Amino acid sequence: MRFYLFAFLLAYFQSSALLAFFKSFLFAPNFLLVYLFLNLVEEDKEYGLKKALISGLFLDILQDSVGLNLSGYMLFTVAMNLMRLRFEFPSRTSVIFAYALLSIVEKLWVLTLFRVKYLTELDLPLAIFGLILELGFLSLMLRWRLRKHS
Amino acid sequence: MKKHGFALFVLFFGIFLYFINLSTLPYLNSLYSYVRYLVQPLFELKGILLESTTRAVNTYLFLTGVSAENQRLKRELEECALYKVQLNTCESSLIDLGKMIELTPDVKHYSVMYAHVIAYDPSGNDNFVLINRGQGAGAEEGMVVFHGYSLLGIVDRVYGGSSRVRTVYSEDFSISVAAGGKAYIYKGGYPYGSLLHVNLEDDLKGGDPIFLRVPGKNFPSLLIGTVHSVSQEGKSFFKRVQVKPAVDVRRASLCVVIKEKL
Repeated sequence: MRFYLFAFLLAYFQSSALLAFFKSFLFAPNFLLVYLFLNLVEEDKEYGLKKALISGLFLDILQDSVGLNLSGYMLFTVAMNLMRLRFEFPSRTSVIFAYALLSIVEKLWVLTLFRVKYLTELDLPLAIFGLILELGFLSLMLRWRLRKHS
Repeated sequence: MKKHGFALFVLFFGIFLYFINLSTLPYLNSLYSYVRYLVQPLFELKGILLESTTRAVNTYLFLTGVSAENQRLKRELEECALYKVQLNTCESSLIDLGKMIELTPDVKHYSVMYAHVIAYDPSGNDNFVLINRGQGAGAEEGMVVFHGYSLLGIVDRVYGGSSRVRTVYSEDFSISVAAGGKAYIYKGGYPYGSLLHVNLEDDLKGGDPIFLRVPGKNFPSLLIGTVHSVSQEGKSFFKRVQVKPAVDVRRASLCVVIKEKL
């Protein structure tokens, strides 16, 4: 339950305050995705389908884009589970690297779907800045969680 | 495998939902409206949060811009102060020299007033602007109005609290100018004005500056524009010289009026 509550708050923050800093939700850092990823990494045996589905729905409802974020989150979860079957994440750097790869795939997916339906400009510097913020947030969360567990 | 299958199903279902615009479907519309009504306060709060954050970000960006602009203006002001000191030195040297050769140079300090442009020509040809200084502020017809180093126009009608300035783009505007060491008549026009009666042997070329010239008065040589093109038409006695006015009327929000008639 704690996961869903925090996920909702993150989704709310992302679709209100963060949208003011970034022109579009396409380029805003997806902190909810980071949070979902961390939870999936920590719980090895869980597939995370329900968590991804509900997190995606939260974002879709708050951003009025029903289906867009949902499909992105599902793709992210499937790709992550496939990656977990083959690789392990022994260090913090490997976790960040794996997330960066998966996040780029998810962002490209969402952007492609959005561009199929609407005409929008790709603001690459802003998107990269958003991704860097995401990775920074992931790094902070990882450090905090490691300290908590040790 | 089963879970992968289900996840992929949800993925494609999400794409389907995205492309069918769920909220606009006739059967779901009322249900969607009802759910929206229930969570309305949440969305209102989200809107307020978004708006206030956007305002805060914009204010911050604006203030940062203003601060940078202030720094630039301060530097410019220092340069102008130095320039003024140099000019004062030149002026006193000129007066001393004048005394030595028994000439009295006409050095005059004009009184000026600052005005804001309050309206532009609706035709789009920038024929005139309205400024917020009129009879009450001592504006009179024939006063020179400039912006930066360039002539904006001449006050041609004065009202109670405002005046109309005929700009250098107006076809009704003509004034004496100096170019290449000779005097000519400048006639306004949009987008190019022209120099009248330029002899064939006069050596004017593209890019030459055109300055204001007031015969019999030691008036500041304000820039009117630069020569845009020089051509010769048939067997005419004169060249056709087009002038690109220097002032950008639509950028001139603040201008200066010299309180001296031409």
